[in-house]
Amino acid sequence: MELLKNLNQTNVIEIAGILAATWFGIAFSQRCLPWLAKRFSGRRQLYILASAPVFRLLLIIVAITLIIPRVVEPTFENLVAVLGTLGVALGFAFKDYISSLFAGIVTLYEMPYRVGDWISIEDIYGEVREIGTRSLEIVTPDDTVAVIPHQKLWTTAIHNANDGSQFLMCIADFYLHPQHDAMRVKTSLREVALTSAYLQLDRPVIVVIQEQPWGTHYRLKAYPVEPRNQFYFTTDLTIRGKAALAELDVVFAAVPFARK
Amino acid sequence: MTTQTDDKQTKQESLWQFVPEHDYKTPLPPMADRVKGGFAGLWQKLKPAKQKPINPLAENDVLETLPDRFKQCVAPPPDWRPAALILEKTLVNRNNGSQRKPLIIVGPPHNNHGAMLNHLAELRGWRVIAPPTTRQILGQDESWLQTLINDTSPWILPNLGKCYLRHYRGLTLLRKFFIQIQQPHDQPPIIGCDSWSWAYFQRVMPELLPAAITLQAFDAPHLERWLLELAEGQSKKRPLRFLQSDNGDEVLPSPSNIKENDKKAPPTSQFIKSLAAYSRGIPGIAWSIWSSALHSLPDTDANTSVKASATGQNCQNTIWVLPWEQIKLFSFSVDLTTPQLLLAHNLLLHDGLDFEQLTDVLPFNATECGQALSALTNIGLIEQQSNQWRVSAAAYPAIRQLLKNQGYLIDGF
Repeated sequence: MELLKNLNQTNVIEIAGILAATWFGIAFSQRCLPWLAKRFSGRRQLYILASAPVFRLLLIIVAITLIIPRVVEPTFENLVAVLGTLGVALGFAFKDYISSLFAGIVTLYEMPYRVGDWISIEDIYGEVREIGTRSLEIVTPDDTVAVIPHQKLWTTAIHNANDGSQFLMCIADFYLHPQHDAMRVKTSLREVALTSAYLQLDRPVIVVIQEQPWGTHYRLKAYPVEPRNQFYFTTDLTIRGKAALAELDVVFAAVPFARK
Repeated sequence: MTTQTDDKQTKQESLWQFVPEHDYKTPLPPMADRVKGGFAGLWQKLKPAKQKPINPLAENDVLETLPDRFKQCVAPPPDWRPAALILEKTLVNRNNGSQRKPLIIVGPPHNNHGAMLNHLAELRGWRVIAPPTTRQILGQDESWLQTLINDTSPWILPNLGKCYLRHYRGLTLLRKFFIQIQQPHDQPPIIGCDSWSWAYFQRVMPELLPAAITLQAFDAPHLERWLLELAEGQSKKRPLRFLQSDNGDEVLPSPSNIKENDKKAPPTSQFIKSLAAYSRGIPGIAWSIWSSALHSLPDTDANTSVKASATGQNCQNTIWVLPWEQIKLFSFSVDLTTPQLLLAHNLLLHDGLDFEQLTDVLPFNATECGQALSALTNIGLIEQQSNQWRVSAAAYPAIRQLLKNQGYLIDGF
């Protein structure tokens, strides 16, 4: 029984054509979908961007399905032999690579992150720019691109700040000397958030107060309209929060004591 | 004479209607526009950024924009006194019941609820309260509130949106105001508020807000009647014909088509239906677009109008209305930057701001504010009226839709 077909010129041309069409399809979808997504906003934009790796995977599966019958005699035994051999060989040679590929497939339906999400993986925080078959790219606030393999999914906690939505909580911290009227400070900080031009008014504003050995820690929590404006928003809360607190004559805790 | 006045008032009552804010209904676009809007909207998103100029039809080339003096005649600025009269009746009926609490009259931008309430104050002989100054708002100066308390005579505050600033010191005075007006009054105060400020108050101090009513949006038949009344009010001796410039169809029914005792009114034109839907039934916005659509043939219709007006002849005058598709509605050729969006949003939330107030409410310095103002002025999104920057009527539907798409707070009207 022959395993492989005799490759004639027609088969080679067909395979080359399939590979070229697949490459063209992937390149086209990678350019076209982000372009299309820019013309939408909100959830539609996120879904269009998230569909890019799905398209790519579908195109690759279609290509493999079309190529295998042109190379291998399409009997059950042959397919089992070819796929088994390939599986063992690739498994040893590209264990991590294959692991990332499978993790990439898992991300398609578990969706721990989507394009446009703000995530943190092992102290790297940024916006997901692209989700590939093996890895994802995130852009950090310092405009650095970090490429992270999907296999981190198996072992690492992934923190997703907005989880596919437009709502991303920001926190502005204030550290005050303990001698002050906490209710006035809380009211004032709440007012600071409610009057920020960046504020998403459909989400709550929360002030959390925690007494520490060195003073009082205030955490002003609120949501910006656009997740991308999170740093502008936090800066605005901090600037105006400090101004509002200065008018209340409270003293800022300048040097926290870190005694063990 | 009495019968005529009664008839007119009956007509006005059905034209202007005040309803609780949750009963406000915006007119739906005609089915054809909805289908076209779907495809056109998709094309708008997919097409390249370059805007192709609209090629007007050949016959439209000879039409010219209606000169201002004729525009004043056939589409004069809205007169809010009839609305004030209906509001007065609504309030009398309301006060006949047990409701003696303060009432807010909410209105969308360019509906000039301030003018309407000033007319109402004249009708009732009530004093009109001016909003506090910026210094009073940010200084949380209660002397402004004292003027309300010390004088027990009834009062009307035409524009509540001018009594706060989106600043960390800018809400306190307003909160105290709302608490103050909850006190029992012999004559409960009447307060006007623009719909965007109202939406903001509903988010930041919902527990303090009294009940609100609003002028119901104009659907297409109401809008048609109102535009006819505006035109008839100025040119009773000269029946006007409003014809669409591409096919000659009547946009507004002419008097010859409205026969006496004929209960079958001619169907409302597609143009008016589209205008009502696009303007969200807001008369001020609809009037702005309507007046820009009016054209005339040079040295014929317009001159005829002048001569007819001068001699008082019963002359047939034709005003040519551009087809809806040819009206250059406001659109964004480039994406707005975040500072520009925030500026436009805050202008709406405050029903207009001066430059100093803008620097108080926006997280930018004066230079950045100036740049954003300049950019928005250049594209016609905002305009300055007596030191106040406001979103223009022509751009309002487009910026409202954009802000909605971007997730910003919008009004409920």
